[in-house]
Order: sequence, then structure tokens, then C-alpha cells
Amino acid sequence: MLRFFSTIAMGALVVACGGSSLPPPQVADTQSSISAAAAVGAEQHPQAALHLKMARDQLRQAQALMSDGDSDEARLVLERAEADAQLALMITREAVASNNARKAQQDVQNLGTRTQ
Amino acid sequence: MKKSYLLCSALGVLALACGASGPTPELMDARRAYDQARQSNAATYSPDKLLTAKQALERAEAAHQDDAGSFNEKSLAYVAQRKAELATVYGDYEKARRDQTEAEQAYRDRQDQLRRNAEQKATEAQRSLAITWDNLSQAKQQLANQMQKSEAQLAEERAAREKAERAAADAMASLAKVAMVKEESRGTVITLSGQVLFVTGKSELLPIARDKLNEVVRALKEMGDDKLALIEGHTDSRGADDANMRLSLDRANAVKDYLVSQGVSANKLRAVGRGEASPVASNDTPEGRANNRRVEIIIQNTDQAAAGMGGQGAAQGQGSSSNPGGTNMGTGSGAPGGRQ
Repeated sequence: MLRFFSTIAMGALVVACGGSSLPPPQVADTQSSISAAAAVGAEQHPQAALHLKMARDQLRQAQALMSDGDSDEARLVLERAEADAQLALMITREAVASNNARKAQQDVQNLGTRTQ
Repeated sequence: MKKSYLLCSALGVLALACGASGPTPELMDARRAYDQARQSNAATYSPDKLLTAKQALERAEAAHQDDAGSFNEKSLAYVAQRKAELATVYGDYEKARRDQTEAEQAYRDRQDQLRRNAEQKATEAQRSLAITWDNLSQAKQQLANQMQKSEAQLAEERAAREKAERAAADAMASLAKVAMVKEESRGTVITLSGQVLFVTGKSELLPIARDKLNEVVRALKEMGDDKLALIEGHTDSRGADDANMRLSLDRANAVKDYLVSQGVSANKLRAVGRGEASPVASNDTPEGRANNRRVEIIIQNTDQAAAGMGGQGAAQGQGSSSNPGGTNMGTGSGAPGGRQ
């Protein structure tokens, strides 16, 4: 594993000098974005689940492209994966927040009607 | 010919240009998503995310200018669309959080208000209970005061009545020393000897008679305002009936006048002459005749007097067959009462 990354890092360093590179931190970032989305329950929300799946697929695709040495395309695909992962995370968090807000508003309403 | 060639080539260039610079479906989606984001909650609640989306779209547009239809353009447009959607969702998220915070604040405010209302109600209830309790205590106190007062009043009245009764009894006792007092059905009968009151054959009172009559006055006053007194003059059988009748009436009137002069109300007194018609003893002995010469004062209750006087007068008239004028004298004595 370590060896794999060090190979990539070396490769990236070499390619970076060439002007087009895929720095490993971006992969790690996207992986952690995917983990975060999954952790808040993105799989339970249909639309979030869809974007989470897209993120995972594209991360795999980017890694494949990297292996093939197609760094430019890999970087673009990884960017797409990151965008989908962030969207999946945010859709889930928004759903939870909306639900909480609705509950709080319902509580206020219930409190209002209880005393009328 | 030349003109149409130029037109053709211009159309061709236009067609070529359009074909070359036509946006990809990804870019069109990205633009649409960004337009939606601008009109969403993002404008208010997440302007920074909206700015990021704008920059992403600008990168995609630049890529489109640079190399229309390229993978680069498509990828950047894809990313721009996601960033625009993210901005929209982020705006909704921020708004939801704010809504939640506001609702929770409203909930706390409402709860506070309810608690204050409840406390106020409790305070009011307590106050009204205190007032009720106060009123109750006052009423109880008043009742106790009234009971005390009425007991005191009753005691006072009882004492006054006892005092009056004692005074009346005292008066009757001292009267009994100077005259004979008897309780009869016609009332309390006070009998005063004629010898003590008058000179023989006359109707002027002797000085000593006044002392005795003063006791009668005292007794009458003590017995109260509701008493009526009938004053009857009696003689023995010696002498003419007419003369005896007149003498007995004159003597009864003399007693009445004296009582009035001592403050007894005249309209409570009535004087009648019975002559020799109602002896209490035999006229055959000096002692009997002395007993028959007398003045009787009959003290009656008001109601008893109103019913009884007429009846008594009638009975008297019937009983004294030898003296038909008895009734006349009896009923006519009201007028002589004011005579001098």
C-alpha cells in the first residue's frame, strides 16, 4: 500500500513538473468526503445515495485512469467525484436539518394549540 | 452571382461557427443549475457557495471558449452543475437551521409565557383565596360580635324586666301595707277603706288619704302604660239609694282626680259609683258597714279592659235590680270624669 502511494507520489512529482499531475492528497480528500457522506447516512436518502454512488464510481474511474497514466483525465474525473461526494453529504445534512426544523415548528404549533 | 456566393460562404462560416461553439448538454445543465441556485435560498443564506458555483461555471465557460465540446469542458461543466446544486442545497440547509433555531426560541418563549401565565394564575388564585378567607374570618367575627351583642342585649333586657318586675312587686308590697290588695278574675283589686279616705258623708279627700293614694299612683306607674284602672265607689246601706249612688260616684271621681293630679293619664282611668249595690260584708253590723264603705281600684290589662269593662258594667247593671240607674251611672261616668 505504502509502496503503491510512494510510486504514485513519485509519478505525480514527475508529471507535476510536466505541467499536468494528480496529487495524492486529492484522492485522500475525495475518499474522506465519500466517508463523511456515508457516515451521515447518505445511503438512506435516494438522491444523496445516487450522488454517493457517482462519487465512488468516478473515484474508481480516476484511479483506473491514473494507473493508465492518463493524469489529466484522472484529475478531471477525481474533481467530479469530489463534487458528487460533497453534494451527497450536503443533501443528507440538509434533509436532517429540514426535518429537525419541521419538528421544532410542529412543537411550537402543538404548544400553541395545547393552550388555546 | 458574386453576391450569392458571398451569402453562401457567410452562411457556411456561421454554420461552422455554430457547430464549433455550441455548448455541450453538460454546460447547458450547469448554466441552468446556476440560474436556479441564484434564485434559491443560496443568495441569502450561502452567498459564498454561490460564488464558488459561479467560479466553477466560469471555468467551464472558459473551457468551452478554449476548446468547445472537449472532455475538459464537459468535466468542468459537470463539476459546475454539482457546485450550483450544492449551493442551492447549502442555502436550504442554512435556512432550515435558522428555522430550527427560531422555532426553538419561539418554543422557549412560549413556554416561558405559559409558565408566567400559570404562575400569574396561581398567584391570583392564592390572592382570591386569601380574600375569601379574609371575608370568611370577618363574617365569623361579625357573627360572633352579633351573638355577643344579642346575648348582652338579652341579658340587659332580662335585667331591665327583672328590675321592673321587682319595682312593681316592691310597689305592690308597700301598697299592701296601706290597702288590701287581691288578685281577682276582674284584675288586681285594691280596696281602700272609706273611713281612711273621706270624712263621713263627704267626698273630699282627707290629708292622710293622699299618702295612701300616692302608693296607688306608684303601683300604677310601676305596672306599666298598658294598664287601665277602674275606680269604683261603694257605700253601706244606710241612707237613700240616690244619695249613696251620688256619693259613691263623687268619691270615685275624687280619687280619680287625685290620681290624675299625680301624673296618671286620665284616659287610663274610669270612675264609677256603685252605691250600696255591691257590699262585701253585712250591713247589719258597724264593722260590716265600715267594710262596705270603700273605694276599689281595679287594675286591668288593656285588652282585658276593652272586652271586660262593658261586660262588667252590664253585669253590674243586671245584678243591681234594686238600682236601675246603676248602668246609667256606670256608662255615664266617662263624662263626669272631666267634671270639677
